Amino acid sequence: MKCGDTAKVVCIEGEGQLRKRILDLGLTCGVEVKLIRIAPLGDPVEIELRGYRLTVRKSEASIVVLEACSPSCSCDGGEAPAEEPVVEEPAVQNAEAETVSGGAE
Amino acid sequence: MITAALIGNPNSGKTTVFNKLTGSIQKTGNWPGVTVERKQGYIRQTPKDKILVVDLPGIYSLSPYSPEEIVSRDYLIGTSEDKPDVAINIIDASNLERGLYLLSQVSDLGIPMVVVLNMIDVADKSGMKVNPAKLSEALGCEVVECIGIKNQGTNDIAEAVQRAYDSKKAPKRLTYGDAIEGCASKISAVLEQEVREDVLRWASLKVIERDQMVLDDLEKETAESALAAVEEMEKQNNNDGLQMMACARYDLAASIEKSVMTKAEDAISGSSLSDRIDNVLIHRIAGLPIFIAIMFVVYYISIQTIGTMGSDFINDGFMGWVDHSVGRWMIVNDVDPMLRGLVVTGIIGGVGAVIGFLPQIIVLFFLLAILEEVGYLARVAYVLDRIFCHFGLSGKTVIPAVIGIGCGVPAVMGTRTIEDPMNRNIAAMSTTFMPCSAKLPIITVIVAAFFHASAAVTLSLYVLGIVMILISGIILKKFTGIVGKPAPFIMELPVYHAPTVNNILTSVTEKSWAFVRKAGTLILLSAVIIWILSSFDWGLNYLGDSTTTGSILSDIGHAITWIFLPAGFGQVWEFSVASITGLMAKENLLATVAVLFDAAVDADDIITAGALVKVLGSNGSGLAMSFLIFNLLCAPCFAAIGAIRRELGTWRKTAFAVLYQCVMAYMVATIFYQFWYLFFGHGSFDYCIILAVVFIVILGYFIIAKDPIGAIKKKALKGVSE
Repeated sequence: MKCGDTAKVVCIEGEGQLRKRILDLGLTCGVEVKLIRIAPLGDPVEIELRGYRLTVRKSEASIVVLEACSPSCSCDGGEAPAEEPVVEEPAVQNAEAETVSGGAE
Repeated sequence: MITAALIGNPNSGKTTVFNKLTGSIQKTGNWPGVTVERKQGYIRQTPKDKILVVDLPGIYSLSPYSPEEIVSRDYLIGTSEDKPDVAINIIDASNLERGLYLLSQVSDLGIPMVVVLNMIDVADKSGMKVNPAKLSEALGCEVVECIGIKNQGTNDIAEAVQRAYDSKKAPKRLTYGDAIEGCASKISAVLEQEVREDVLRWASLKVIERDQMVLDDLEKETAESALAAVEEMEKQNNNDGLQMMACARYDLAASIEKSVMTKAEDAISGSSLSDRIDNVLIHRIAGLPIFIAIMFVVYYISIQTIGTMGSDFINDGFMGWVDHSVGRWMIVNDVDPMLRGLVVTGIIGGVGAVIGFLPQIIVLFFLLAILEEVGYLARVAYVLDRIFCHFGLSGKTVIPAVIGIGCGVPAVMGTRTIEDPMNRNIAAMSTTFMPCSAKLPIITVIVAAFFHASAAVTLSLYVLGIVMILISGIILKKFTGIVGKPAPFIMELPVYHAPTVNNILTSVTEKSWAFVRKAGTLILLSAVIIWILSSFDWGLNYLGDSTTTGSILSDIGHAITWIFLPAGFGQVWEFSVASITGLMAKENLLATVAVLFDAAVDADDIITAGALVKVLGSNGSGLAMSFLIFNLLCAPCFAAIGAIRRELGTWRKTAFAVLYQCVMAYMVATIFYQFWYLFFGHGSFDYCIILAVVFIVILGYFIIAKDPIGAIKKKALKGVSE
């Protein structure tokens, strides 16, 4: 995803509190998110959803499965194939996070 | 009496509304998580003791995540006898959807509810109009429009609360689709015996989310059979309960929003002005330099220029005049020299030295309050998160650190918004490394005395504070034995808004007044005690006002001063004594030094900086600096230690935190002094350099070694045996 790009949430993977919080904040299936900007040092990203701005680290955002937005996309649950998956191992070690997220951009 | 709970998303303006309703002056700010504790007050427009309003920390859902959110959840659920009569649900009108998501959960509880649409002016500006009548119809409760910050519509809230209480009417029951409703009624049937009737529906829905707090309250069998119903539903829908529930609630919220809100054609979500500001302030390349520049400006204005002008005026002009004229008046009127010493050296010297820094502190608090009010603080966390993440900390650690420049107590309390418990504890243990405003006087005096009031030297002390927090992220983690990824960082960015004069003034007056009050009580008392102890010998004979040699304090000081010899400032017993009195309040550092040195040089008009140079000689810069470093990093004042205790929960952990801080302070001060002495000590050699090298090795080992104390191994072994 590039700044200004919009994508649709397919489902939220992972488990535990992090997943709960992400769902509570409105990153639920079918919602559109827009990448606004990336922090100066390259990590947390600022996204817009449901009319507000959220910042989240790339490694944490990796549990959100997105698909590139097209008018015809259907979002009915977790099994929809993601065209542009941003899935990574959630538990990326610090040093590795850089290379992994760099590749996903 | 009616109790009404203020509930809503973080940063939706609950405390602002609370302050307007009750006339309180609770702290507000433009970042999520300002309120971390429950506050209550009576609505002032109704007869006394009629309606009690309880302000709660902001939450996103009724399944809490960090400790301050548990406070809100527990209060709202309460017990069947003790729970709020009315829920005042505050919704940021420009963020309606997320507000309705939380509202749906509050609504499940069936408490009579009043919905307050706050910040309608902000929503208006971005082209969003909410129809309150339609919203009221959709939710089945009264909707009040308000602009908390301008005190518009707040009066209607009290009346609406009264009506909601009188009618006892629960809000409309919101439904979440056949699959969930079917499952919920199955769970309700299972839970009926164990769960209070009033929260039955809510609890059933929370079981679908697999809410741990609800499940833990159930008997094992009940929980299992309830979860069986959830699994059945999950299988049928090929989705998990948590996600289904969240989607259903948000779908409901979205459909309500759609039916009650009209958006202008050119409406852009968020605020366009905020966006334009952010394009500059947190710009990809310029963001970091701008942050450094802003902090420098804060520092420059308060410590270097405007603040200092005020302080110089009070210190040299006003206090000098008071000191001089009181002294002369006493000589002329033949006042007993002992009393003269007490008043001039002890009280005016000690308290005056501290109170003189009030202008600096006012300016510092003023600028920090602006940063908080405008909404920049949350951005700082966002910009710096990458660095903190590298040290295994959350970017949210930055917010307490910046607040800590003002005062350590709110800073330590502010760590509560960090979700990850380990990260939160590390932040609570290390946030007082930032030099607080009480340490500012001693910093200013020493830097003025030995470093020509150099900006670089003062700033480096603040940088030292940040570096120590970062290092602590690495070191303290190794004591816990938990390895793994750094704490998550998920935070909403608030929309910028112009600071209100009222909020800023309240915040600045309150803090400055606290400073003056402390100077007039604690510092005054300490100064008197220090003067007495330094003016009398063990036989209680008065030594005269020009010496401290042979005094009680001097003997005590000499007895403990060897401890600080490796750090250099042990050569000056006055510094050792000040390090102890500084525990009571850090202002005491300067008050003590002022009383003791003024007496030592018999200075009627030499201010403390001059006295310092006179006693230590121009070569004293190294040990004065080492004294500063030790005292900036060592255990904070008792008030802050108390705050740390509240956050960590046990005295054992608190003792560890204080010990850690003192050991770090001692090591860093020793390393600094020994190397300073090696390079600037005119070729002489101090055996303590060996100690400094040992300290460097120890620090390095703790930073580099993967498992320095075997905590991780121990934890792993424990995990295997379990």
